[in-house]
Amino acid sequence: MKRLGKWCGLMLLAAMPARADEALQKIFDCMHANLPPSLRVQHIELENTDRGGSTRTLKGRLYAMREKSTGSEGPVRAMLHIDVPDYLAGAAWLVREGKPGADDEMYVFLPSVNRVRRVIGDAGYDSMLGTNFSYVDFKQLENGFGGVPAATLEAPQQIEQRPVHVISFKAQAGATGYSAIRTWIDQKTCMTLKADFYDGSAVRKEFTAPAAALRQSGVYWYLSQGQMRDLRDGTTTLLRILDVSSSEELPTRLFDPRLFYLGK
Amino acid sequence: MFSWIARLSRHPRLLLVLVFVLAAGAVALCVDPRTLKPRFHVDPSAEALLPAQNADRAVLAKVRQTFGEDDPVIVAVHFEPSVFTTENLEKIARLTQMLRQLPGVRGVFSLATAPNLMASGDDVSITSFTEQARTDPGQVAQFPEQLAANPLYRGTLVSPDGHSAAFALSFGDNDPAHYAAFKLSEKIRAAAAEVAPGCEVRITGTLPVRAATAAALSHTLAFTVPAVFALVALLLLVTYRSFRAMVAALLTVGLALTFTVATAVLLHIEFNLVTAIVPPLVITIGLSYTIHLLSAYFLSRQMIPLAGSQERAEWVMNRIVTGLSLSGATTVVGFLSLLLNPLPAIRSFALLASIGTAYVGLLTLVFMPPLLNALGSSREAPPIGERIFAAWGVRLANFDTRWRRQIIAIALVLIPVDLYFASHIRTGTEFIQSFGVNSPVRQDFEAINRTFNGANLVSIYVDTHVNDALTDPVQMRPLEQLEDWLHQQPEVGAVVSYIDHLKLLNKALNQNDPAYFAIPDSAAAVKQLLVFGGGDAIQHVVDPRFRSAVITVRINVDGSIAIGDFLKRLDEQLDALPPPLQAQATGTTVIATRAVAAIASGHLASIAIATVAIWALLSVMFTSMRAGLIATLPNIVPVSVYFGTLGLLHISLNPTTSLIACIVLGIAVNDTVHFLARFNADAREQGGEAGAIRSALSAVLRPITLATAALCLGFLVFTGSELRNQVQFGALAAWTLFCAWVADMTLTPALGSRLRIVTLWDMLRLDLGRSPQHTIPLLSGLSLRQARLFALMSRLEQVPSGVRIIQEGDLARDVFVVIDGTVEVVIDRNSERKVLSTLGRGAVMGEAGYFGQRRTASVDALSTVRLLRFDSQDLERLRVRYPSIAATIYRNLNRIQAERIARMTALVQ
Repeated sequence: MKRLGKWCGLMLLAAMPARADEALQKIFDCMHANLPPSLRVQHIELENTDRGGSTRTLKGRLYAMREKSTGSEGPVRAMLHIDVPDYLAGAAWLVREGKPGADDEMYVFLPSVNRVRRVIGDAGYDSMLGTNFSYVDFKQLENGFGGVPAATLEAPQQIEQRPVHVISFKAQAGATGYSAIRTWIDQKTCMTLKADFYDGSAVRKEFTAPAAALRQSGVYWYLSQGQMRDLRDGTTTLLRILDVSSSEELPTRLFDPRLFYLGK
Repeated sequence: MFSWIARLSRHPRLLLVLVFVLAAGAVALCVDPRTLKPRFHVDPSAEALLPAQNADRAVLAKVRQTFGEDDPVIVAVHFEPSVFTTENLEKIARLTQMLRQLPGVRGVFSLATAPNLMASGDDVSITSFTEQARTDPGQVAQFPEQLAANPLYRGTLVSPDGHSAAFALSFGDNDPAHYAAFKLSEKIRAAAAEVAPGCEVRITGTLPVRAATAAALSHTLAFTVPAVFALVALLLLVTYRSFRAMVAALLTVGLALTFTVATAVLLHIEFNLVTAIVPPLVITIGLSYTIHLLSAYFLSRQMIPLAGSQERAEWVMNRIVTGLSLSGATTVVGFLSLLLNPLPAIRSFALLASIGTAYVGLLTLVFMPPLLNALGSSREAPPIGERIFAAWGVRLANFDTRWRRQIIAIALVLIPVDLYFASHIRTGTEFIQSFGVNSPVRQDFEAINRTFNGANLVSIYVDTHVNDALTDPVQMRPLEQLEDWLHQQPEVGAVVSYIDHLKLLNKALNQNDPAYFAIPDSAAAVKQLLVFGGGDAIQHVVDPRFRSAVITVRINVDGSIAIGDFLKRLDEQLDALPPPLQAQATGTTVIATRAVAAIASGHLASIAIATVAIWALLSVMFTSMRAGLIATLPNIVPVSVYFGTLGLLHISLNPTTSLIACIVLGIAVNDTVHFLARFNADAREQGGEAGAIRSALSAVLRPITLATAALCLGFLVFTGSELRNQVQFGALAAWTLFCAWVADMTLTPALGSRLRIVTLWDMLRLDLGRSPQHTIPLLSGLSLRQARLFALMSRLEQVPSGVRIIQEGDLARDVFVVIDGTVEVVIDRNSERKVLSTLGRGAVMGEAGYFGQRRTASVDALSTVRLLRFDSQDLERLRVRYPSIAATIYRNLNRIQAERIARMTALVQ
């Protein structure tokens, strides 16, 4: 159930902690600038390849928006509606970002249960819908690694002849989840082209995206494709964003816990 | 080969240099010269005993590939007054965090990580127990009830008495060497001590048990090898009172051991529970060989005191080459018979032990004599106990001769009696109980097994080969019934499957209504729930395509017999599952159990092959099937005693005890061979068997007893091992060898007392000149082999020039045949010496005496003469053993006699 909340992380914008390092702050600001303030609709596909080499595909629509707020950045609302496979068609997940210091709210609707359930519990590091992505992974990739302390800017490198920033994050002692994360951020687009997620001293998962997958929708950059490999389990999940559109319309029922599963 | 060995022995210095150069190469193979780390490996896993292509291993590999590793390390920490206090739950959370930081740990499953699925109205809570305790301490009181109601955690996360919390540590690398190298058990205990000082900590699982087994194997190797060396060195020093003899023996065996280990490295043979026996075995066998050589060497100092070193080396080699070669051959045959065993570990053992025996035999023959010479010839005291042993040998011979029939009868009765007891033997081995009672790894296992009602894991792999089949409620019902059946079994402590996860999810999403603790009615609902809850926990029990699943069963029994009984019942249940459900039990415990069961299939065949092969070898070497049988029988008796002992003491046949029969059969024949070879030589020299038994037993009792003592001591060293099966192996092998010694000192002389043996080596060495069957009339019509057989059943004597061979007028029955040299037939009449004739090769003399007449003339040697001498007893023995040869000899003798009579008649006329 924790994984419900992970979906919202795809679009989540967490408040950025104040960072002393100006260079780092600029990079994080640049990453945040890729997240539009209005409703964004993405058709996504997650192709999971298990240890045996067989694949399973999930398709759905991801709706996300930031609520109007008096502050600089309002809380994020995100809803995933599954279309494929058939047995999951109609299932829906809603994540509503909590206020600063509060937990996110997560709701799930399963056709077989035919009722909305609120899921309580912190988002974990478990697999999300059987894929290699977790809420935390998305959050780190999309959210500019907000909430992760001890960031260090390393010497720049190149990926596919493109200059990239290299930033390392180290978890606090005793914290759950990854012990460290190392990311490679494209300097031009501020999108993450590579990330290593450490468990102890070993890389547990590896995210990679080709530079060719960099797309622009309006002024906002996004990755049309990315792959997460679980080095421990030998599984792979390929994330494809098939279509991105924006809408000025605000269908509030998409993010209403009582109605979200009805869709648009 | 013998001539090749003889040629080698003529270049002692070259030989020594060559062996030492080879030894340097072997050492470089055994130990990496750069890192000084050994290149050979110790593999304590039970899978190592099974063939790489084994179906059970393939299933286990498939399960691991699909669902991940199945063997967590279980840590149980005892808390007072109970686990269920906020303080102790906080300690569990802290300890979980610390354990996660340990090297190689992939994950920790505990009260701090296992989600406690709770439903309240439309809310579903999935936080961990410790988190719930932290946020709402009032919930802690409900945890015991919640855990008891949860099939995933019941009796797993917390012991039924509520005092012990479990932590299941999964490791990415299931290598016990790494586990041991990182000292993870110590680190786990240290972490627990830091978080919960004074709490009792127990650790078990495949990894720590394997690490402990590897350590025990390494200790066994590290202990047995020097211990066997030390014990036998002491034995050599005491009995031979010669420091250089001891050094030579130890160096010879040490080099053989080095070559053997180097060969293991070259052949990629790892030292596992079975092959770890090879090094001390090679040492033990080698030292028994060296004892025989040293006996011959010290005898040479009495026999040829003035001989040079080269001459002495050759004399020693000639003295022992027959017995040692035959001993080595029979030992190798005994080992090689194990190649029939289906377990690759036992086949590797057979190969390596054979090679090791060949090395030690060859080095004893060609390397040790020149080494003894090279070490110098300081004056040393005569070997101790020679007279005592000689005296006892005579007493023993008299006893054997007097009680011959009774000894044979006892032996013949012993065999069926032992076979009766042997019929009660079961194939099986203890796993954790292989360790001593005070071993920490055993104590921890037994404590966790007791506290959590099971510490061994069995996995049931269910495969339908149809996507989504396992989400069909119709297919799930039989699996649910299988779980119910498992819960009813006394061996089963816990069962977990994806169906349990599913039921819990269904109940939680339906407001905790107990009616929903059931399989949903539709496949779509099942899939939705499984995908909804599709985290790591579910991915480890059902595959993403829902076509295969694994049911984890925790059992409270150990040892292959008890587990085998459970598996037998389980297999019946699994076979009864309706299609497309196909299921089989797997896991490390199952593999180990099946590996042990596989021993029996090839065991009897191995023993039969070894017996027949040794009999055939002895028949060839003794040139008689009957002699081969007589030499084999005394060794069947100790083997049957061994099996009778197993049955009587309820000792099971396991990977190590299954080796003993073939090992002992191969080794014990050595004593028989040594006795019979000596008896044969003495019988030929003395012209009778009764005296030969006494002289042979007097001569061989000491070396055979010393060699047996060395072997028994060597095997008894295994009783110092931490592993029970190694202890059993050592004690039983020593006992069986002792029985073999008793049989060889009683039954062999009793059986062989009327048997004249001709060895193949004797035949090959015998020089009867060129084409004796064509140049010696008495041997006419025989093949060269038959001619030699006849010669060896007789006596070949050498008479110096001028010595009288036959005295006219004597009443004697010996017949002589001149092999080479010249003799003169003379008569004395009135003090006048009259030469009747001069005879050479092929001449027959004294045949009149054979027919009861007094010698009619004297015969003197004109040169050094070699004569074949036989009498009516020899011919009778020949008639019994080789009737066709005897018939030809009788015919030739008659023909010679007839010709002589005809010539005399012609002279008279």
